Amino acid sequence: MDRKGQTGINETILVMFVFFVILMLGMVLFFQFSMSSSRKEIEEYQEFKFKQLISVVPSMNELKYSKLGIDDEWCIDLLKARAFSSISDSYNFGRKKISIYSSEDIVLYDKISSRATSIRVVNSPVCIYDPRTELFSLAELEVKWEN
Amino acid sequence: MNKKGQLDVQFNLIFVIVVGIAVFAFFMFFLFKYIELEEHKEAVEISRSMDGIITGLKTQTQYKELDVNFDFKLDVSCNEIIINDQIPGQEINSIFFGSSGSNNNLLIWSRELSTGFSVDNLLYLVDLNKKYYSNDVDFFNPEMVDVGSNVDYDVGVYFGECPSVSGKKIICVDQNLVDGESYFFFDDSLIYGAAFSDLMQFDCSYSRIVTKWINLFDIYISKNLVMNDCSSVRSSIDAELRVLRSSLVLENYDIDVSNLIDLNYRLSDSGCGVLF
Repeated sequence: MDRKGQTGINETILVMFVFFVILMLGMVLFFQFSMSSSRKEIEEYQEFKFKQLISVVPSMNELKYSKLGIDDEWCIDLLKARAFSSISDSYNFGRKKISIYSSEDIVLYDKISSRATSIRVVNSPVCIYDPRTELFSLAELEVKWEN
Repeated sequence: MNKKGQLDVQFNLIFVIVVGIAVFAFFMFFLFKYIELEEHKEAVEISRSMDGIITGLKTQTQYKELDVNFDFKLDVSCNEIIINDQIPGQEINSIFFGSSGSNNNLLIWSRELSTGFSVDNLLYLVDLNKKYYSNDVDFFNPEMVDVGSNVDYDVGVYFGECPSVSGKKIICVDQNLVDGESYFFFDDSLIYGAAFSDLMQFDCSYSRIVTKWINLFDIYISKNLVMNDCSSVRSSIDAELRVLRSSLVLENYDIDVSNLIDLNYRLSDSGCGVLF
Protein backbone atom coordinates (compact mmCIF):
# COMPACT_ATOMS: atom_id res chain seq x y z
CA MET A 1 0.00 0.00 0.00
CA ASP A 2 1.36 3.44 -0.85
CA ARG A 3 1.72 6.28 1.60
CA LYS A 4 -1.25 8.21 0.12
CA GLY A 5 -3.56 5.19 0.49
CA GLN A 6 -2.54 4.68 4.13
CA THR A 7 -3.15 8.33 4.94
CA GLY A 8 -6.62 8.00 3.35
CA ILE A 9 -7.47 5.00 5.57
CA ASN A 10 -6.21 6.80 8.65
CA GLU A 11 -8.31 9.85 7.81
CA THR A 12 -11.43 7.72 7.29
CA ILE A 13 -10.89 5.94 10.61
CA LEU A 14 -10.36 9.25 12.37
CA VAL A 15 -13.48 10.76 10.83
CA MET A 16 -15.56 7.71 11.83
CA PHE A 17 -14.09 7.76 15.33
CA VAL A 18 -14.95 11.45 15.76
CA PHE A 19 -18.42 10.80 14.29
CA PHE A 20 -19.10 7.99 16.77
CA VAL A 21 -17.77 10.02 19.69
CA ILE A 22 -20.15 12.88 18.75
CA LEU A 23 -23.01 10.38 18.28
CA MET A 24 -22.31 8.80 21.67
CA LEU A 25 -22.16 12.20 23.35
CA GLY A 26 -25.48 13.08 21.73
CA MET A 27 -27.06 9.86 22.94
CA VAL A 28 -25.73 10.34 26.47
CA LEU A 29 -27.19 13.86 26.54
CA PHE A 30 -30.51 12.61 25.16
CA PHE A 31 -30.60 9.84 27.75
CA GLN A 32 -29.83 12.24 30.57
CA PHE A 33 -32.57 14.56 29.35
CA SER A 34 -35.04 11.64 29.22
CA MET A 35 -33.96 10.56 32.70
CA SER A 36 -34.48 14.01 34.17
CA SER A 37 -37.89 14.35 32.50
CA SER A 38 -38.81 10.90 33.83
CA ARG A 39 -37.64 11.87 37.34
CA LYS A 40 -39.72 15.04 37.11
CA GLU A 41 -42.72 12.97 36.04
CA ILE A 42 -42.26 10.66 39.05
CA GLU A 43 -41.96 13.64 41.39
CA GLU A 44 -45.14 15.14 39.92
CA TYR A 45 -46.87 11.80 40.39
CA GLN A 46 -45.75 11.60 44.03
CA GLU A 47 -46.99 15.14 44.56
CA PHE A 48 -50.29 14.17 42.97
CA LYS A 49 -50.55 11.11 45.25
CA PHE A 50 -49.79 13.24 48.27
CA LYS A 51 -52.42 15.83 47.37
CA GLN A 52 -54.85 13.02 46.68
CA LEU A 53 -54.73 12.08 50.38
CA ILE A 54 -56.74 15.21 51.05
CA SER A 55 -59.68 13.60 49.27
CA VAL A 56 -58.95 10.03 50.39
CA VAL A 57 -58.86 10.72 54.14
CA PRO A 58 -62.41 12.12 54.54
CA SER A 59 -63.82 9.19 52.54
CA MET A 60 -62.38 6.56 54.89
CA ASN A 61 -65.06 4.59 56.72
CA GLU A 62 -63.06 5.03 59.91
CA LEU A 63 -63.81 8.78 59.74
CA LYS A 64 -66.78 9.28 57.47
CA TYR A 65 -70.10 10.50 58.78
CA SER A 66 -73.06 8.25 58.05
CA LYS A 67 -76.62 8.10 59.23
CA LEU A 68 -78.47 4.78 59.05
CA GLY A 69 -76.11 3.61 56.33
CA ILE A 70 -76.46 6.76 54.21
CA ASP A 71 -73.28 8.79 53.83
CA ASP A 72 -74.25 11.47 51.33
CA GLU A 73 -73.09 14.41 53.45
CA TRP A 74 -69.36 13.82 52.81
CA CYS A 75 -68.38 14.92 56.31
CA ILE A 76 -65.97 13.70 58.95
CA ASP A 77 -67.54 12.39 62.15
CA LEU A 78 -65.76 14.17 65.01
CA LEU A 79 -66.14 11.27 67.46
CA LYS A 80 -64.96 8.70 64.91
CA ALA A 81 -61.97 10.92 64.14
CA ARG A 82 -61.12 11.11 67.80
CA ALA A 83 -61.40 7.33 68.17
CA PHE A 84 -59.36 6.78 65.00
CA SER A 85 -56.49 8.91 66.30
CA SER A 86 -55.97 6.39 69.11
CA ILE A 87 -55.71 3.38 66.77
CA SER A 88 -54.04 4.98 63.74
CA ASP A 89 -50.61 3.59 64.63
CA SER A 90 -51.60 0.37 62.91
CA TYR A 91 -52.21 2.25 59.63
CA ASN A 92 -49.55 3.06 57.09
CA PHE A 93 -49.80 6.23 55.03
CA GLY A 94 -46.03 6.61 55.02
CA ARG A 95 -44.12 9.46 56.62
CA LYS A 96 -47.01 11.85 57.00
CA LYS A 97 -48.93 13.77 59.59
CA ILE A 98 -52.67 14.18 59.14
CA SER A 99 -54.51 16.62 61.39
CA ILE A 100 -57.91 18.19 61.70
CA TYR A 101 -58.28 21.71 63.09
CA SER A 102 -61.77 22.48 64.33
CA SER A 103 -63.32 23.24 67.72
CA GLU A 104 -60.85 20.64 68.93
CA ASP A 105 -57.61 19.82 67.14
CA ILE A 106 -57.10 16.14 66.39
CA VAL A 107 -53.93 14.51 65.11
CA LEU A 108 -55.30 11.60 63.09
CA TYR A 109 -51.96 10.12 62.12
CA ASP A 110 -48.38 11.10 62.83
CA LYS A 111 -45.37 9.27 61.47
CA ILE A 112 -43.16 12.23 60.69
CA SER A 113 -39.74 11.90 62.26
CA SER A 114 -38.52 14.64 64.59
CA ARG A 115 -35.42 15.07 62.41
CA ALA A 116 -37.38 15.80 59.23
CA THR A 117 -35.76 18.61 57.24
CA SER A 118 -38.10 19.07 54.30
CA ILE A 119 -41.85 18.91 54.84
CA ARG A 120 -44.59 19.66 52.34
CA VAL A 121 -47.99 20.78 53.53
CA VAL A 122 -51.39 20.71 51.88
CA ASN A 123 -54.59 22.00 53.50
CA SER A 124 -58.23 21.73 52.61
CA PRO A 125 -61.49 22.78 54.20
CA VAL A 126 -63.63 19.83 55.33
CA CYS A 127 -67.08 19.46 56.77
CA ILE A 128 -67.14 18.06 60.29
CA TYR A 129 -70.10 16.64 62.18
CA ASP A 130 -70.43 16.45 65.94
CA PRO A 131 -72.94 13.67 66.76
CA ARG A 132 -73.43 14.99 70.32
CA THR A 133 -74.75 18.35 69.16
CA GLU A 134 -75.84 17.12 65.70
CA LEU A 135 -74.16 20.18 64.21
CA PHE A 136 -72.18 20.41 61.01
CA SER A 137 -69.29 22.87 60.91
CA LEU A 138 -66.25 23.76 58.88
CA ALA A 139 -62.81 22.46 59.79
CA GLU A 140 -59.39 22.34 58.22
CA LEU A 141 -57.72 19.12 57.15
CA GLU A 142 -53.95 19.31 56.96
CA VAL A 143 -51.60 16.71 55.51
CA LYS A 144 -47.86 17.06 56.03
CA TRP A 145 -45.45 14.95 54.05
CA GLU A 146 -41.83 14.32 54.94
CA ASN A 147 -39.69 14.27 51.80
CA MET B 1 4.62 -3.56 1.75
CA ASN B 2 7.47 -2.46 4.00
CA LYS B 3 7.64 -3.22 7.74
CA LYS B 4 6.37 0.24 8.78
CA GLY B 5 3.40 -0.07 6.41
CA GLN B 6 2.55 -3.50 7.85
CA LEU B 7 2.69 -2.13 11.40
CA ASP B 8 0.39 0.76 10.42
CA VAL B 9 -2.19 -1.63 8.93
CA GLN B 10 -2.04 -3.88 12.01
CA PHE B 11 -2.45 -0.86 14.29
CA ASN B 12 -5.42 0.38 12.22
CA LEU B 13 -7.03 -3.07 12.37
CA ILE B 14 -6.63 -3.37 16.15
CA PHE B 15 -7.81 0.21 16.61
CA VAL B 16 -10.92 -0.39 14.48
CA ILE B 17 -11.73 -3.63 16.35
CA VAL B 18 -11.29 -2.05 19.81
CA VAL B 19 -13.27 1.06 18.90
CA GLY B 20 -15.90 -1.10 17.17
CA ILE B 21 -16.36 -3.25 20.29
CA ALA B 22 -16.53 -0.12 22.50
CA VAL B 23 -19.12 1.50 20.21
CA PHE B 24 -21.16 -1.72 20.04
CA ALA B 25 -21.02 -2.12 23.83
CA PHE B 26 -22.11 1.47 24.24
CA PHE B 27 -25.08 1.03 21.90
CA MET B 28 -26.14 -2.17 23.68
CA PHE B 29 -25.85 -0.46 27.07
CA PHE B 30 -27.80 2.50 25.75
CA LEU B 31 -30.47 0.22 24.30
CA PHE B 32 -30.99 -1.65 27.58
CA LYS B 33 -31.04 1.57 29.59
CA TYR B 34 -33.49 3.10 27.15
CA ILE B 35 -35.81 0.07 27.38
CA GLU B 36 -35.61 0.30 31.19
CA LEU B 37 -36.43 4.01 31.07
CA GLU B 38 -39.38 3.45 28.76
CA GLU B 39 -40.73 0.71 31.05
CA HIS B 40 -40.34 3.10 33.96
CA LYS B 41 -42.27 5.78 32.08
CA GLU B 42 -44.99 3.27 31.21
CA ALA B 43 -45.22 2.23 34.87
CA VAL B 44 -45.68 5.84 35.95
CA GLU B 45 -48.30 6.38 33.25
CA ILE B 46 -50.21 3.23 34.24
CA SER B 47 -49.98 4.07 37.96
CA ARG B 48 -51.31 7.55 37.29
CA SER B 49 -54.23 6.17 35.25
CA MET B 50 -54.94 3.57 37.93
CA ASP B 51 -54.89 6.17 40.67
CA GLY B 52 -57.31 8.38 38.81
CA ILE B 53 -59.69 5.46 38.36
CA ILE B 54 -59.31 4.23 41.95
CA THR B 55 -60.02 7.67 43.44
CA GLY B 56 -63.13 7.95 41.30
CA LEU B 57 -64.30 4.47 42.20
CA LYS B 58 -63.91 5.02 45.94
CA THR B 59 -66.89 7.36 45.96
CA GLN B 60 -69.43 5.02 44.42
CA THR B 61 -69.78 1.44 43.19
CA GLN B 62 -68.96 1.23 39.50
CA TYR B 63 -66.37 -0.12 37.13
CA LYS B 64 -63.93 1.31 34.64
CA GLU B 65 -61.49 -0.17 32.16
CA LEU B 66 -57.82 0.77 32.36
CA ASP B 67 -57.11 2.17 28.93
CA VAL B 68 -53.49 1.47 27.97
CA ASN B 69 -52.31 0.35 24.56
CA PHE B 70 -49.30 -1.67 25.63
CA ASP B 71 -48.67 -4.92 27.48
CA PHE B 72 -47.44 -4.41 30.98
CA LYS B 73 -46.38 -6.68 33.79
CA LEU B 74 -48.52 -6.47 36.88
CA ASP B 75 -47.45 -7.92 40.22
CA VAL B 76 -49.74 -7.69 43.21
CA SER B 77 -48.24 -7.88 46.64
CA CYS B 78 -50.64 -7.47 49.54
CA ASN B 79 -51.04 -3.69 49.69
CA GLU B 80 -48.82 -2.87 46.75
CA ILE B 81 -48.97 -3.01 42.98
CA ILE B 82 -45.71 -3.38 41.07
CA ILE B 83 -45.84 -2.44 37.40
CA ASN B 84 -43.05 -3.56 35.02
CA ASP B 85 -40.88 -4.64 37.99
CA GLN B 86 -40.46 -1.01 39.07
CA ILE B 87 -39.48 -1.12 42.74
CA PRO B 88 -40.81 0.34 44.99
CA GLY B 89 -44.33 -0.41 43.87
CA GLN B 90 -47.39 1.73 44.11
CA GLU B 91 -48.97 1.52 47.55
CA ILE B 92 -52.71 1.12 47.47
CA ASN B 93 -54.42 2.36 50.61
CA SER B 94 -57.61 0.56 49.66
CA ILE B 95 -58.08 -3.14 50.10
CA PHE B 96 -57.92 -4.72 46.66
CA PHE B 97 -58.10 -8.05 44.89
CA GLY B 98 -56.09 -8.81 41.78
CA SER B 99 -53.75 -11.31 40.20
CA SER B 100 -50.19 -11.03 38.90
CA GLY B 101 -49.29 -11.52 35.27
CA SER B 102 -48.86 -9.80 31.93
CA ASN B 103 -51.77 -7.68 30.97
CA ASN B 104 -53.14 -5.02 28.71
CA ASN B 105 -56.77 -5.57 29.47
CA LEU B 106 -57.72 -4.71 33.01
CA LEU B 107 -60.99 -3.64 34.51
CA ILE B 108 -61.08 -1.89 37.86
CA TRP B 109 -64.28 -2.41 39.78
CA SER B 110 -65.40 -1.24 43.16
CA ARG B 111 -67.99 -2.79 45.45
CA GLU B 112 -69.00 -1.84 48.95
CA LEU B 113 -68.53 -4.35 51.75
CA SER B 114 -71.16 -3.64 54.34
CA THR B 115 -71.76 -5.72 57.45
CA GLY B 116 -74.29 -3.62 59.34
CA PHE B 117 -72.02 -0.66 58.83
CA SER B 118 -69.86 0.00 55.80
CA VAL B 119 -66.41 -1.61 56.12
CA ASP B 120 -64.80 -0.54 52.85
CA ASN B 121 -65.24 -0.03 49.14
CA LEU B 122 -63.26 -3.00 47.92
CA LEU B 123 -61.37 -2.76 44.66
CA TYR B 124 -61.08 -5.52 42.11
CA LEU B 125 -58.46 -5.57 39.35
CA VAL B 126 -60.25 -7.87 36.92
CA ASP B 127 -58.12 -9.62 34.31
CA LEU B 128 -60.28 -9.44 31.19
CA ASN B 129 -58.06 -11.97 29.38
CA LYS B 130 -59.54 -14.72 31.60
CA LYS B 131 -62.86 -16.47 31.21
CA TYR B 132 -65.16 -16.68 34.21
CA TYR B 133 -67.94 -19.15 34.84
CA SER B 134 -70.52 -19.70 37.56
CA ASN B 135 -73.38 -22.18 37.84
CA ASP B 136 -75.41 -19.21 39.07
CA VAL B 137 -75.96 -17.36 35.79
CA ASP B 138 -76.50 -14.03 37.53
CA PHE B 139 -73.20 -14.09 39.42
CA PHE B 140 -70.92 -12.71 36.68
CA ASN B 141 -72.10 -9.77 34.65
CA PRO B 142 -71.40 -10.57 30.95
CA GLU B 143 -71.17 -6.84 30.23
CA MET B 144 -68.24 -6.67 32.60
CA VAL B 145 -66.28 -9.92 32.15
CA ASP B 146 -65.92 -12.66 29.56
CA VAL B 147 -68.30 -15.38 30.76
CA GLY B 148 -67.23 -18.83 29.58
CA SER B 149 -69.17 -22.08 29.25
CA ASN B 150 -69.12 -24.81 31.91
CA VAL B 151 -66.10 -26.44 30.21
CA ASP B 152 -64.27 -23.44 28.78
CA TYR B 153 -63.25 -21.16 31.65
CA ASP B 154 -60.27 -20.17 33.80
CA VAL B 155 -62.10 -19.34 37.02
CA GLY B 156 -65.21 -21.21 38.17
CA VAL B 157 -67.52 -20.18 41.00
CA TYR B 158 -69.85 -22.94 42.14
CA PHE B 159 -72.87 -22.73 44.41
CA GLY B 160 -74.12 -25.99 45.91
CA GLU B 161 -71.81 -28.39 44.12
CA CYS B 162 -68.01 -28.50 44.25
CA PRO B 163 -66.41 -30.14 41.21
CA SER B 164 -62.74 -31.08 41.22
CA VAL B 165 -61.21 -29.80 37.98
CA SER B 166 -57.49 -29.59 37.43
CA GLY B 167 -55.84 -26.57 35.79
CA LYS B 168 -58.66 -24.22 36.70
CA LYS B 169 -59.34 -22.05 39.69
CA ILE B 170 -62.37 -23.37 41.53
CA ILE B 171 -64.32 -21.53 44.23
CA CYS B 172 -66.92 -23.55 46.11
CA VAL B 173 -69.14 -21.05 47.90
CA ASP B 174 -71.24 -23.38 50.07
CA GLN B 175 -68.15 -25.31 51.16
CA ASN B 176 -66.22 -22.02 51.74
CA LEU B 177 -63.30 -23.22 49.62
CA VAL B 178 -60.93 -21.26 47.39
CA ASP B 179 -58.67 -23.63 45.46
CA GLY B 180 -59.04 -26.15 48.28
CA GLU B 181 -58.22 -23.60 51.01
CA SER B 182 -60.88 -22.78 53.59
CA TYR B 183 -62.17 -19.20 53.89
CA PHE B 184 -65.51 -18.14 55.29
CA PHE B 185 -67.43 -16.01 52.78
CA PHE B 186 -69.28 -13.56 55.02
CA ASP B 187 -70.21 -11.42 52.05
CA ASP B 188 -70.55 -11.84 48.26
CA SER B 189 -67.78 -9.30 47.79
CA LEU B 190 -65.35 -11.93 49.12
CA ILE B 191 -66.49 -14.47 46.52
CA TYR B 192 -65.71 -11.92 43.81
CA GLY B 193 -62.40 -11.25 45.57
CA ALA B 194 -61.53 -14.94 45.43
CA ALA B 195 -62.49 -15.12 41.75
CA PHE B 196 -60.44 -12.12 40.67
CA SER B 197 -57.27 -12.59 42.73
CA ASP B 198 -54.36 -14.90 43.41
CA LEU B 199 -54.73 -17.04 46.49
CA MET B 200 -51.93 -15.16 48.31
CA GLN B 201 -53.42 -11.78 47.47
CA PHE B 202 -56.86 -12.98 48.53
CA ASP B 203 -55.47 -14.23 51.82
CA CYS B 204 -53.76 -10.88 52.49
CA SER B 205 -56.81 -8.78 51.55
CA TYR B 206 -59.04 -11.06 53.64
CA SER B 207 -56.82 -10.38 56.69
CA ARG B 208 -56.83 -6.64 55.97
CA ILE B 209 -60.63 -6.66 55.79
CA VAL B 210 -60.89 -8.43 59.14
CA THR B 211 -58.36 -6.02 60.72
CA LYS B 212 -60.28 -3.03 59.38
CA TRP B 213 -63.56 -4.55 60.55
CA ILE B 214 -62.16 -4.97 64.08
CA ASN B 215 -60.80 -1.39 63.96
CA LEU B 216 -64.25 -0.13 63.01
CA PHE B 217 -65.73 -2.00 65.97
CA ASP B 218 -63.16 -0.25 68.21
CA ILE B 219 -64.08 3.11 66.70
CA TYR B 220 -67.83 2.52 67.20
CA ILE B 221 -67.26 1.29 70.77
CA SER B 222 -65.34 4.52 71.54
CA LYS B 223 -67.94 6.68 69.82
CA ASN B 224 -70.79 4.96 71.64
CA LEU B 225 -69.12 5.53 75.00
CA VAL B 226 -68.90 9.28 74.40
CA MET B 227 -72.54 9.64 73.34
CA ASN B 228 -74.59 10.17 76.50
CA ASP B 229 -78.19 10.06 75.30
CA CYS B 230 -80.50 6.99 75.39
CA SER B 231 -78.24 5.31 77.95
CA SER B 232 -80.12 1.97 78.10
CA VAL B 233 -79.92 1.46 74.31
CA ARG B 234 -76.31 2.64 74.37
CA SER B 235 -75.35 0.02 76.95
CA SER B 236 -77.06 -2.69 74.88
CA ILE B 237 -75.15 -1.49 71.80
CA ASP B 238 -71.90 -1.46 73.75
CA ALA B 239 -72.44 -5.07 74.86
CA GLU B 240 -73.38 -6.14 71.33
CA LEU B 241 -70.37 -4.40 69.78
CA ARG B 242 -68.02 -6.05 72.25
CA VAL B 243 -69.48 -9.53 71.67
CA LEU B 244 -69.23 -9.17 67.89
CA ARG B 245 -65.70 -7.79 68.12
CA SER B 246 -64.63 -10.70 70.32
CA SER B 247 -66.02 -13.15 67.76
CA LEU B 248 -63.92 -11.55 65.03
CA VAL B 249 -60.81 -11.59 67.20
CA LEU B 250 -61.43 -15.32 67.77
CA GLU B 251 -61.64 -15.74 63.96
CA ASN B 252 -65.33 -16.54 64.05
CA TYR B 253 -66.54 -14.48 61.09
CA ASP B 254 -70.01 -15.98 60.93
CA ILE B 255 -71.57 -13.19 62.97
CA ASP B 256 -75.13 -11.90 62.99
CA VAL B 257 -75.30 -8.10 62.91
CA SER B 258 -79.11 -7.84 62.73
CA ASN B 259 -79.45 -7.06 66.46
CA LEU B 260 -76.84 -4.29 66.14
CA ILE B 261 -78.73 -2.79 63.19
CA ASP B 262 -82.02 -2.97 65.16
CA LEU B 263 -80.43 -1.21 68.13
CA ASN B 264 -79.08 1.51 65.83
CA TYR B 265 -82.59 2.04 64.42
CA ARG B 266 -83.93 2.11 67.97
CA LEU B 267 -81.64 5.06 68.69
CA SER B 268 -83.08 6.85 65.70
CA ASP B 269 -86.67 6.04 66.71
CA SER B 270 -85.98 7.42 70.20
CA GLY B 271 -84.69 10.69 68.76
CA CYS B 272 -81.10 9.95 69.79
CA GLY B 273 -77.97 10.22 67.66
CA VAL B 274 -77.37 7.06 65.64
CA LEU B 275 -74.08 5.22 65.81
CA PHE B 276 -73.62 4.47 62.09
